[in-house]
Parts: sequence; C-alpha cells; structure tokens
Amino acid sequence: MSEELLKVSNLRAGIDGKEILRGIDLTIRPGEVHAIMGPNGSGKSTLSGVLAGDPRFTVTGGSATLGGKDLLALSPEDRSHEGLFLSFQYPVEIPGVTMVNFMRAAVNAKRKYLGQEPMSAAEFLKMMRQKRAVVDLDNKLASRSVNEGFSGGEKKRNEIFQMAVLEPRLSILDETDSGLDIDALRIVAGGVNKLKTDNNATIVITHYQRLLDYIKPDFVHILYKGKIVYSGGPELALELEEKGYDWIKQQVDGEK
Amino acid sequence: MTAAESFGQYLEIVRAHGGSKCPKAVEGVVREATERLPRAIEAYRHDPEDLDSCRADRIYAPDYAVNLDGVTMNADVAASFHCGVPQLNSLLCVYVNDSVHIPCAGKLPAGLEIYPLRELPEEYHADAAALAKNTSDSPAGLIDTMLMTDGFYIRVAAGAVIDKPLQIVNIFNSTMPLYTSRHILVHALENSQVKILLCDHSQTPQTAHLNAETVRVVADNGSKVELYDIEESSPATSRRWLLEATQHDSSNLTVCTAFLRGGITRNEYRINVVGDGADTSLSGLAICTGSQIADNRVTLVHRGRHCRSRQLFKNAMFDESTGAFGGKIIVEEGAEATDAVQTNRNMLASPSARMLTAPQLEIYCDDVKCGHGATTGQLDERALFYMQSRGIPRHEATMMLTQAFMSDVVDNISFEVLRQRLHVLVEKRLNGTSGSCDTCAAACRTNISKEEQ
Repeated sequence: MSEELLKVSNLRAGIDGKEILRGIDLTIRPGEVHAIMGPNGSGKSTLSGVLAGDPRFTVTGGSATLGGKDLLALSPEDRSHEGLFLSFQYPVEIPGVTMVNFMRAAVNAKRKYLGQEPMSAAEFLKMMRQKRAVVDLDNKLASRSVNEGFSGGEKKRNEIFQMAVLEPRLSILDETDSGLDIDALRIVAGGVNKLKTDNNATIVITHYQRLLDYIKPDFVHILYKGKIVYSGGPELALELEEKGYDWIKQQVDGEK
Repeated sequence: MTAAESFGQYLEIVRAHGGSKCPKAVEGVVREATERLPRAIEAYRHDPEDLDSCRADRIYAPDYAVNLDGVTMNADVAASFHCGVPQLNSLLCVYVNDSVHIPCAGKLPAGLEIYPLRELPEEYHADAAALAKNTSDSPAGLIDTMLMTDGFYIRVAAGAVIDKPLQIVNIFNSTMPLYTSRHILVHALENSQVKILLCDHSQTPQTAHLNAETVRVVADNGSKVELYDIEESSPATSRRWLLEATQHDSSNLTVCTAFLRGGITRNEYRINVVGDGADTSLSGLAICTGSQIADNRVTLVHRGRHCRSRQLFKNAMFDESTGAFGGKIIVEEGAEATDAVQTNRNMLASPSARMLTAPQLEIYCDDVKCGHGATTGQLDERALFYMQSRGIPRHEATMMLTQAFMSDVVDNISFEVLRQRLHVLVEKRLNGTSGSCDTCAAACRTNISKEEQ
C-alpha cells in the first residue's frame, strides 16, 4: 500500500451553528478515484467546501491531512498550493477579471509558494494553449472575464482546464456533471481521465451513476446525514442506480 | 481654529498687505471677490456650507503661508522626478506651487495659445476676466480668487483640433505649510478640440499643503473638451478642486478624475449646459486607504434642449477611509428631451470604511429621461473564495477585484494612451508600488527634461 494522500478522521463541521458533517472518515491514496454519492442534503458539498476551506463552514471537530500536512490549519490559497483542487458545482463569475490574468495570478502565486520564479509570458501562454486542449476550451474565452457569460458546459470545462493548469495532487469534483449535456459530460470526463496519473487522486461527488460511466471509481462511498454510511467498489454505484437511496435510508434510520 | 476663523484670517492678512499682486487681466474679478468675502464669511459662520464643516475645519487647521506677492518658485523640477514609464508625448506646462511655467510655449501647434495670466496680451483680458469671474458665495472659493497671483489662460482657436494632449503638472515643493491658489482658464472656441491632463504631485510629502485649484472652461458651439485629472499627492495634502464649465450648442465635455493618493480631496463639478444638443460625461474614481477622504460633488444644470449627460463615480474604500458623493442634476424648464443618467457605485472593503452618498434629481420639465442610482456594497466573498481556492492570496484577490470594480471608469476614457496608463496606475496604487515619483506613470520628468533640452 502506498502512502496516504488524504486522511480525514472524525471530521465534524456545520454552518450557522447547524451541524452537517457528523464525523467523516475517509482515506485516499495516490492513484485512486473515489466517488461520494448520497441523497440531497446529505453533506456532499459541505464536505468538499470544508476540505477546500470555504469560510462559510465552521469545523467543529476531527482532522484532515493532505500529504501529512494539517489541511484545516491552512488558508484556502495554501491548500491549493499544497495540491488540493476543488471543481465548483457553481463556478463563480468575476466580472472585470480576465481568465488570462486570473490564471497567471494563480500560477505565479503557486510558483512563489514553491520558491520558483514567475513564469515568463511566452511560457505561460504556451502552457495555457496546451492545457486548453485537454477540454477543448475555446481560445476566445481567455480574454473574457472569468466565467462571465459562459454557458453551463463552458463553465465546467473551464474548471477542468484550471485543474489541468494547476496540476493538483487531489481533485474534488463537486457535481461536475450537473447542468451538462451528454457531449459536454464526455469532454469534461475525458479531460479528467487525461489528467489522471499514479500520483494524483480524485474525489467525484455526484448524484447519479451517469458520470461514473466515464470516470471509473475505485471506491464508492455513500454519504447520508453527514456520515459515510456505506463504502464499496464500483458495483455499489450500479446498485444505487437500480434501487435508489431508500434502502440505505431505511438501514441507517432503522438502526436508531 | 475653525474654518470660519481661518477664512477671516486670510482676509485680514490680505488687507494688511494692501491686497495681493494679481494679474492685470483679472484685477476686477479679484477686487469683486475680495469685497464680497466678509459677507460670505459671516453667512458661513451662521450656516456652514454643506454637511462637512468639520472636514473644512480639518482642511484649514494647518497654519498655511500664502504667496501674496506672487514670488516665482523655480523648484528644480527635473532633479526630483524619475519616471521609467514610456512618456505621454504631451505639450507640457508646470505649476510649481502657484508659479506658472510653460516649457512648451515655443512648440505649440497652430490654433493653441497658452499664456500665464500675468503676461496675457491685452486683447484677451476681457475674455480671461469673464472666464475667471467667481459667482459663488463660498468663502473658500472667494479666497481662492482673492489669492490669484497668476494662472493659465488656454485658448483653442475656432476649428482647431489639437491632437497632442496638453499636460499641466502640478508640483508642490515647500518646507513650510502652504496654500496654493491655482487657476486654469480654458476657452475652446467654435468647433475646436482639446485634451487636457492635470496631475498632482508632491515633492515634499511631509509638508501640509492646501491645494486649491480652479478650472474654468467655456466650450463654445461644436467644441470638444476632454479634461483628465490624476491626483497622486501626499497624505499631508488637502485638495479643493473646482471645475466650472459652461457648454454651448453641440459641445462635448468629457471629464474624468482619479484620486489615487492624497489626504483629503474634494472635487466639485459645476456644469452649466446652456446650449442645445450638448453632451456631457463626468466620471471619477477614488481609491482610499488609511484615513483618506475623497468627496465628489456634482451640480449639473441642463438648460438647453436635446442634451445628454452621463455620470459615473466609483469609490473603493479601505481601512478607516471615507468617501462621499453628492450629485445633483437640475433640469430647467424648457430643457426638453434631456437624457441624463447619474451613477454612483461604492465598495467598502473594511468594516470601518464609510461612504456617504446623495444622488438627487430636480426636474422642472416634462419631456425628459433621467435616471440615478447609488449602490454601496462589499467585496464579493464568493469571488474571493473562488480565487483563493485557485491559489491566489486573499490580498491579491482583493486587489484584482477592486481593479475590476474600477475598470469601467477607466475604460470610459477614449484617449487610449491615458486609458492604458491609468489602468497601470490603478494597479500600482492597489498593490502599493506607487506613491512616489519613482514609479508614477505620469511621465513628468522625462517630459520636462525633454522639453528643456
């Protein structure tokens, strides 16, 4: 077994005093793809937000480490520099900030963190060109404001493009399939698969099995009422697709 | 000492001196202002103007010297200015404190005349006097006129289109607190076009400076006047800037002011649109940190028919700074088919920053289209988190969002070189690399030394 990339232990967190995550345990190793599924309101997006450092959520207990570093002690920007990437369910529009300036700031901030010189303009543009190809992103979007006026599909492709540029060790794809038609889904999933290596790992958060036809998970976890109540292999996703979440709900709620 | 007491003292000083040494062309204007001053001060004592008597008290608190004899200051301008940025290639004029210098005098394009008021040819005296006339009852403004020892008279001949921008660099250099009364008179004759850039700098940033600058513009029929102003002075500077403009038929006036650095600044715009079919665009941006105060006041009076006016003022306030906007559009009876819009948007980036805003419309005519709006908000937390999650440090993300917030004001500037430069200046202001002449993009030194060669 290789080393642990992400280790989450008994993680508890909430929003406005309301507890949403009630003790999450999750271990992810390099090269793995984990799917987290669960009904609405089970805490999937809270988990991704808490790991990325979203200030809306308050951590009330437990721990999370990335490559041995205490993730919860780091600012969101330093979590990114340490190799965490969150693909947003709803990418934010930032009028007046162009994609190029946004990415240059992101790339150079990371280089600074790692003690490297800023990238030259030529190098940077070359890299942007290469990475755009991963998700077939239109060149014209580079001069536009971040996500402003992008279609749903363009926004999600833009997320994966950013992931390609930042080369994270751990990517969390939060409902990346929502709002995508089948062609866009194929491109986005194809992009994720191209970026997969033995050294990085991915958490795919999704409602539906559909995305998992394209991004094959090694493990599937079911999140319900703020806890991972069931873990299994890829076959678990198929079972959910067939039977829905009710049997899980019954099992968990029935135990009380 | 209160402002009212200071006003009285300036009057006493001038009286004791037997008047100030004013240019012949404006003698009548200065005399008249001086005569009206006692009553204006008395009225102010009973009813301090505006909402900010305490701010006026703060502005007038230092014991400023005044240059009643109009002694010329020949500060070695070139010695202290460094500018590594490509130059603007402008026609250069310089105000050192309140002394007028016109290095570009020998190279003016046909149709453009610039004189110091003291050396104004007799034939233009009446025009200068009409331009300089002070009709307001503000004691501060009357004192500015009383202290007028020189000024610029700029005349653009009928039909002349001046492509090269005219740049007036305002430089402050004094080891003692000083009140400088600066005057710029612009007459754009029929169908003429001119671009004027003003910028403020301080070579002695520790010294208190009251920078009172009055710009009076008359835009004749069909003329086009662009006026840009960039303030990059020091926290010890209090600035009172007044633009008073009269617009005739089909004239076009564009004004953009940028407050990047200073102490207290109060910009007042009094625009009188008397002609038909005129177009007016006023915009301003202010980035305030520390305890800076930036205050923009607009009074735009529409008298002519079929006129269009647009106002866009934006403030980004950090720390304990204060911003203010008071905008008033008055549409007089008979000003049919007026189309006027006034917008004020503000961003408070700190819980202790403050913004006061009062957009107003007064409409005495039925057939008009007028709109106004003011919004004050905070930085977009979702955008900040999104940027941070991509590794952009919070302070840098804040800077980028502020820059983005200001971008439409800058993008409004049609004069391309200046637009690009102002984008850079705003960025430098936000990331804290400007604030000295070393990094300022106004290109004073390169210009000045070139002109002098």
